[in-house]
Amino acid sequence: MTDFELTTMLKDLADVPAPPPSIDVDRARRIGGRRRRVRTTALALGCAAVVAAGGLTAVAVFRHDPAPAPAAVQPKPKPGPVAVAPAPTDNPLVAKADFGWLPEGVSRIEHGVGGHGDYTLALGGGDRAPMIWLAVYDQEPALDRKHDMGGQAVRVPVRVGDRDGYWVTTDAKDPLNHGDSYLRWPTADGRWAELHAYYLALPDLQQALLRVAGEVTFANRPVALPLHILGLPDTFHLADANVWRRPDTDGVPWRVVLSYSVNGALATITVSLPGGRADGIGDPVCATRNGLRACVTVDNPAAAGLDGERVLDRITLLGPDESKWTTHVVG
Amino acid sequence: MEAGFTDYVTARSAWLRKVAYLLCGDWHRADDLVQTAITRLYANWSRAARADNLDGYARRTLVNAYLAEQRTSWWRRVDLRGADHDPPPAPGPDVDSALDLRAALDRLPARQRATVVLRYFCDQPVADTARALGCSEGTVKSQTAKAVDTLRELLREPIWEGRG
Repeated sequence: MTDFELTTMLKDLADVPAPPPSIDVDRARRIGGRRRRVRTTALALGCAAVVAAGGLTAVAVFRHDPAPAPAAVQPKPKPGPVAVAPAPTDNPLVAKADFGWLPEGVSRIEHGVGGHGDYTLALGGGDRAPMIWLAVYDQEPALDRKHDMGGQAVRVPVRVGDRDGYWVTTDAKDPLNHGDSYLRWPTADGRWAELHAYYLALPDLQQALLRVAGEVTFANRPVALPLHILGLPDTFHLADANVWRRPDTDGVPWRVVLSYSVNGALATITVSLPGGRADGIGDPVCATRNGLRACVTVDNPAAAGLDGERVLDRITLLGPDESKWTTHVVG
Repeated sequence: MEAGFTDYVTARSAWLRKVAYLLCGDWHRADDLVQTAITRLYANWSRAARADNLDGYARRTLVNAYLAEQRTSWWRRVDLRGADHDPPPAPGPDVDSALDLRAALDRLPARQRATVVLRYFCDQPVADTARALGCSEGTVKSQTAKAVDTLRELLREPIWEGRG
């Protein structure tokens, strides 16, 4: 079946007989308009608060008499930023944060950088595996950073360890956002951390997620990988790097996948135990050495300047014992 | 503004409904997804109407609604045990290749399914698909390859890869 045939099949499927539509444009206008008004009002109130605060500041600056000290609330001294060591350059996969405590059954740890952002993921097993995504942002993300809350996102303040954080939810009465839960808090070095959890059924999920957040540690930690790549050309720019631990779907305990953009081509390196599937586009070139299998695909060798065989020649596999893996991957 | 929104939805709701059906495989859920998407579209109409590609904006809104629904619908089933959570009626026997494809699409993870629909049904290039899904072009390529591999296995017929 060609691309064209797949497209045709999709069009045929979309054309199968359907029940009459139940889409209500008036209802969309009513509810959408209400959301817009709420948002506009909130924005206006926010602006008014800023203007009022600015006015008070101006009065304080220009008045001759010293302003009286605030009666009750003393500003808390903010701790200075705590520097984080720069990320190493010889490892494509550097974790910005690590979990401490995790709920029982959510113990597999994956790492990724690239397409889905830079994350550390704790997950369980099964069809709808519970997942807790941990990400660190240089600046506070937009409230509805994934644009999937329909303009209804609100903050619900909460204390995370010794910091003032908040839940992001579409329902202020349900900080857990109906199970698609977001918890954010500022880190000691001035960045922002976020937990995004779903498919997680626990008796006291709020407390569990707060405990997970409270025990997160922050540092640029290179993730040990099962390969060393000698002399990767400068034209290889990392697109995605992932450590997957999905035995249910992959048939092997883990897979490491590094994808590089090379002059518009995509070169993908997959390392796993023998039997693992190769990612990428095109026919993989594979080799089994030292108890591991490495496969390379290059979708356009002419553009990339070298083919899968040449990339494979540069790879040393370090074996299945994870204690022998290296954090110095490229060089 | 009102007329522009109404005109757009009137003209494009049938197309949005088809995209939604390919994403979720059920016409009633598809209507719910389109309803959610056009509500969000109206709430953001002043921005949407200025978009270079209004179809692209609407498509991205629809895909986001679908991916979010995947997660929260699970929670409703867990949270409201014993309430209104009857499983959807089983589909009738799949008698042609289109319905075989529907069954195969049901087996794909949500993001891979969205990738297939955007790339092959909506004929979107890698870059636009990446923007719609909020991921890198490399991720779109690898997700497409995985999805096509799975469909090939499920439909037991090779799909020749040619899309870069």
